[in-house]
Amino acid sequence: MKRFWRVSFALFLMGAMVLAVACSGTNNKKPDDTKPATTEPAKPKEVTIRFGTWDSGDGVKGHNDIIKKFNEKFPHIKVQLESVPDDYGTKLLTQMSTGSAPDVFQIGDGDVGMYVKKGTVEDLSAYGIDKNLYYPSVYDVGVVDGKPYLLNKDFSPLAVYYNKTMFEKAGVPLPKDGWTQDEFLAAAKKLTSEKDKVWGVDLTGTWLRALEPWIWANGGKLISDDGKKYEGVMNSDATVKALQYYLDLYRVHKIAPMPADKEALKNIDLFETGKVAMLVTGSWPLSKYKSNPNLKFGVVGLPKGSAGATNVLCWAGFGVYSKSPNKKEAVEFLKFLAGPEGSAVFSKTALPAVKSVGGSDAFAKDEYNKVFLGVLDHVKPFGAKYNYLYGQSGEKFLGPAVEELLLKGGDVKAKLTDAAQKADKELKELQSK
Amino acid sequence: MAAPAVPAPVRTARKRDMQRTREAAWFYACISPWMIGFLVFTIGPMLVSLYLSFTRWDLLSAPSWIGVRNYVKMFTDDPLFWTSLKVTGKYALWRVPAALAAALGIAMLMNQDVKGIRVWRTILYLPNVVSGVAVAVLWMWVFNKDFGVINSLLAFIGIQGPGWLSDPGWSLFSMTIMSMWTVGGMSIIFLAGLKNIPQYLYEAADIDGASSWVKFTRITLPQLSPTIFYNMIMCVIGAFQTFTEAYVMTNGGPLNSTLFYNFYLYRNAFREFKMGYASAMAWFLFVIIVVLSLLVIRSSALWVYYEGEKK
Repeated sequence: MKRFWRVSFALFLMGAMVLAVACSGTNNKKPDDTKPATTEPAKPKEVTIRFGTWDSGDGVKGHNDIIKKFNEKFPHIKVQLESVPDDYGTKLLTQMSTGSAPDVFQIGDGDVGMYVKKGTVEDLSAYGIDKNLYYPSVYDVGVVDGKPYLLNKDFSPLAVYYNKTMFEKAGVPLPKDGWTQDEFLAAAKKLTSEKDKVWGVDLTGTWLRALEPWIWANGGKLISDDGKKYEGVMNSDATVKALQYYLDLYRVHKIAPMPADKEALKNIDLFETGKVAMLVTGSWPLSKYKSNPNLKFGVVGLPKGSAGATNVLCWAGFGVYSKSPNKKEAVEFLKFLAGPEGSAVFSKTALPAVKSVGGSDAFAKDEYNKVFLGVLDHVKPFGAKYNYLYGQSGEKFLGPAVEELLLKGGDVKAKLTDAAQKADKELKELQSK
Repeated sequence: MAAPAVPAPVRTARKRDMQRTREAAWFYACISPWMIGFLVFTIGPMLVSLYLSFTRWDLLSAPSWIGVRNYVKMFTDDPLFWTSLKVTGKYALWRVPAALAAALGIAMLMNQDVKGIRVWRTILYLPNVVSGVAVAVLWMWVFNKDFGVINSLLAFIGIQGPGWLSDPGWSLFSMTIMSMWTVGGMSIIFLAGLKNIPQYLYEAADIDGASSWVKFTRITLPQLSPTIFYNMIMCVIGAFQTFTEAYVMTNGGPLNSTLFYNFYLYRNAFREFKMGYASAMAWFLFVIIVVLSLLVIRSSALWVYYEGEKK
């Protein structure tokens, strides 16, 4: 009798373990939910599409709003939101490698070229996308080799926030649209006080994307226009001069907190607490600052260099998986998501890519949004637009070079030449078979 | 009634065989869930990863065979590979002796015959329970250059503390200190080892008038050597696999001073789309750990003392 219980317990354990293994697979629901034709022959078959995003919690309120509105227009297309707040990129890559990526997925600007060139994104040319709905420089980020692949979710160029109170107290004239780098430097120097531990501006440190407009503003370039070479471009005299100027802001004029200082003051908003008089960043903290009654601030474009006014975009967008079993429905959802209806929802917390939404009062008449949309004219394509391997070659070596130059100083020309040569070598290797 | 066709010894031999087969069948049946899991989730992926280490694979398109190019590149053309090995090796070199000593010290504290020792044991073990990411974030605040606990205390006595995590010269050392937080697991094992040392050895030593130091080095350590041996291997393996701290706290910086091997591997795989190269790195790490473990095991004959072992 005892033996019977022992045997059945062992069998139960084995069964439980097998069951646990079987049920532990990922949520890979088959998206095809075809229902047999009903008595109404005109009723379209019900389809479920999966929608992947890295936003979560409050961040997906917009997504869910849009899904609801979408279902009012297209009741037969069910959208299943897959929110992956941690390691979205890693998960998306593994899903791609097993052919099970979501039908509509979100990716960041730097990855657009890579995902498109590897054939994982559906070419939207045949689906009637109206490009005139969008701001050209924003639409352009999702275009590869002349064909549209991804549509924008939200974006931001860079701007300089300035603290009106601090400027007035120091007697420095407020920045005006079209101001120069010399005016910027002069203002920042007057607003920096070592004894008060206050800096003139919170710059963008070693963030390479934000460094690009400073390089362009003084006539420099980081990759050749045909996207094939770094040597001679990344270490050209103009680029060296531009980078030296940026580094000098930190090391010579000391108008910005070094990364170590920022690390120490990490959870304090330097701009809001008056520790810096200016802040260079995108539109992300705008609503936070607007809702602070004690903060009187303005926003202006980046200061002009010898080559004029420049700016760069940070961008996130959506594409349709090339191996999706429901491409038509997925594209339909994508058009809604990125078009006027979706943009109206997303623009509650970010800048809209759709011109009609951007032209509305909330944006055209708002003193801050006006500036952000206004600088779109100065936006130039970031490095990855010239070559989809820019991140893995150029940035891979430019990053450590800039970090070392910023923290330890050194010969800018020598370091950039070294980085450019290594980047060329890496690019050759990545492109070889 | 016929006479038995089979002679008695053969009959019992056959019965024994049948019983052995039945026992074997039960063994395999019971072990099968683990076996299947091991083959499907451990050995299988390991073999696939070995294959992948000879390919170039960006996860987005199919892998393409490139032979030993990944390994060649690893050894000849990747300075960060050597950097990450140096960082990880240095870390292991500091951590293993320090952790063993700290764990032993804590275990000896836990072994005191003091009232309420159970509560103390729990408290001393508590840091081990906190999850890796939470520990990392917590220590980022402790190490904060301007507001952290350490620098605030140092400022009290007039010393300007360094940037524990922001200074490339200090960052790896800081992470080693932080790793001392989680020696609780090893302490528990040491505690069990300590409890296993027969008391009469100490009593005999007392009678002979031995000092505490002599008792420690001549009785405790030799008796504890199998436990030290086990903890040493586990610690070495763990040290070489460090990932979370680099991922959460420093991203390998500043200036690659905390570029742990495992983290560099992850970066190659998922940030640079180089899964094949990362697989090659993973297999090399496997070789390193096997070699180190073998070294420790081989050397154990010299210093590990097993009670009841016949030399």
